[in-house]
Amino acid sequence: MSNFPWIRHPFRDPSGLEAEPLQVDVGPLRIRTRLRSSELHVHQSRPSAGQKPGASPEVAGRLDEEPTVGWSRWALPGEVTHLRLDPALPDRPVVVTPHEPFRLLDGAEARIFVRVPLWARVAVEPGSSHLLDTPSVIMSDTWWGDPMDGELCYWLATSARRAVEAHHFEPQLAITVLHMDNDSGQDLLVDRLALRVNHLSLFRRGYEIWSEETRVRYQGDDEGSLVEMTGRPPKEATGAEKLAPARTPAPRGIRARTFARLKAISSVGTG
Amino acid sequence: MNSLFLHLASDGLAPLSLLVLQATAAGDPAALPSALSLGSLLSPERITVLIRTALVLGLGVPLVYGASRWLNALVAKRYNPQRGLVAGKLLLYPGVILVVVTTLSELGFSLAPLLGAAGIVGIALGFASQTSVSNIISGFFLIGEQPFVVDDVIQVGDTVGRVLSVDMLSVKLRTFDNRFVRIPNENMIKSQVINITRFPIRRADLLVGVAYKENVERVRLVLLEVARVNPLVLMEPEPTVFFDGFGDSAINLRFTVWATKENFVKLKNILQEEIKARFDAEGIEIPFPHRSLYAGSATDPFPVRIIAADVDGSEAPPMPPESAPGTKENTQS
Repeated sequence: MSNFPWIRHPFRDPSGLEAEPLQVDVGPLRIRTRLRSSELHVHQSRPSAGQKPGASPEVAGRLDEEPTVGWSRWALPGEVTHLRLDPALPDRPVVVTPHEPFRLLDGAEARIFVRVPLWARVAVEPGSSHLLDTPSVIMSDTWWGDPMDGELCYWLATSARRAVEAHHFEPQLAITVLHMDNDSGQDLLVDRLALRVNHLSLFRRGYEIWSEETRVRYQGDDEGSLVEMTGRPPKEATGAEKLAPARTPAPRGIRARTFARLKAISSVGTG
Repeated sequence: MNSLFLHLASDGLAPLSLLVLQATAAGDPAALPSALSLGSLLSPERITVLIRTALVLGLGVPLVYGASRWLNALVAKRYNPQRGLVAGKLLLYPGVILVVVTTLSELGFSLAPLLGAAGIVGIALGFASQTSVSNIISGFFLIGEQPFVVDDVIQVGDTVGRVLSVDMLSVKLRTFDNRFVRIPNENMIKSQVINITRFPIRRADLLVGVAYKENVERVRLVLLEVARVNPLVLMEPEPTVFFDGFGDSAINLRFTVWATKENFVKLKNILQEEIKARFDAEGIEIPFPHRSLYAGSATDPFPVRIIAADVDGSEAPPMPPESAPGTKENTQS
């Protein structure tokens, strides 16, 4: 997999003479950079809705043209040598909706694998601060919880696989493993899940990107769920090395609403 | 009157007004210039008093205002701007009163008679300023009940604006065309107030009319697709399309989507543009009002008279009278 984007990209070719415009693809996200008079210019683009990169020669052609507008500019403190892309999980929880909901029987446990689109954090070297933090895929927003005090999340429709295979890995996707235990005394319909990915760190094994494992113990509607961020990669990714820290580190165990879903508030009213 | 002021004099440090009054009361106007002589005004005791008074005012007022602002910022940061405002004023008003009382005391006023007089004056003012008192009491209710806080967007009558402050007498708003609106607290208590930004998400209801020839189910799917691809539309609560009734010229649909309060206005704008563009692309007709006129029969066509100018400017000959009906207008589109 030669297009693994999470590396350092040199601004200059090996001859070191001229800084060339740089172009890196993170899934559908294309990041272009150019150096101009001690300034770094960065441009990001994604195919519009319904298009996929490379879907047709026409689309691909349009993406390859250097854009004339939409560049962001940074004045640099000195000479820079490399562009660095760091992956990060989304900055808000992700509500996962399995294409085929399933029931977790009382006392049962299950592991599901969810592919979560990554964000790209752009930095230059030397230097450590991130200039840009942008999603590879723009996900829709959704609301989780009560309309008066719920929380804003991203929406992700997924297969919620019970196993992961080699072809599931893509450089712009992290595999998030959720281990669920149902201790509620009743069956649990899993049709919505809130994954608190903003609290998860990332690990890398070869070209595979994994998030740390999350364990959720469901104890009933009124009790919420006990969520534990294990801080280590799942057993399926033994030997993986840490790639990026969590955006907002959380205590290892938190009680949060993971399964409870929004009540019916979408009935129409004239108010 | 004289006796009232004379009671206020303290021993040895009578204020200037009292010296004047004492001289006048003694029935000796000639004594007035001597009472106001430079020597008596600039005696060491009096200069000390003036310096002390200046210090109290010079240090006290900035100190009280500074402390009030500091407390306002501290509480606003920890809780919210509304509580900050209230905390700041709870410090400011007693502080100002304290400075005033201390100043008067330094100047030689005895406070007990002053407070007594203030009570009498207060009763008189109370009767004269019932509206203000009502506003103050209403202000307490507004602060206690908190139907809105600073930075909320509210609607009062026809006025919509962002709350700048909730004060003792009035609520101040800034409208979105940047006008300053002051609404007395009493009005706020009496009228209906809509807090537009109280809850984090809002529903936008878009009324969409489509031609009677359209397949409603197809239109519904197109609308839901428009919602699905717009990242500002919340996927839950789900976007919905309701059949709202048979209109004069169109089938009326109510398209409801939810958005965060920050994105609400932007979404409402964008979505209507997207609906129009998508309907155009899908060939879905958005009709405009139709009116059909009949000349007495539902099947016979209208006789139409075409008036064309000749090349030399003269009009075509008129139609024979028997072929010209009373009504020729056809506004059907």
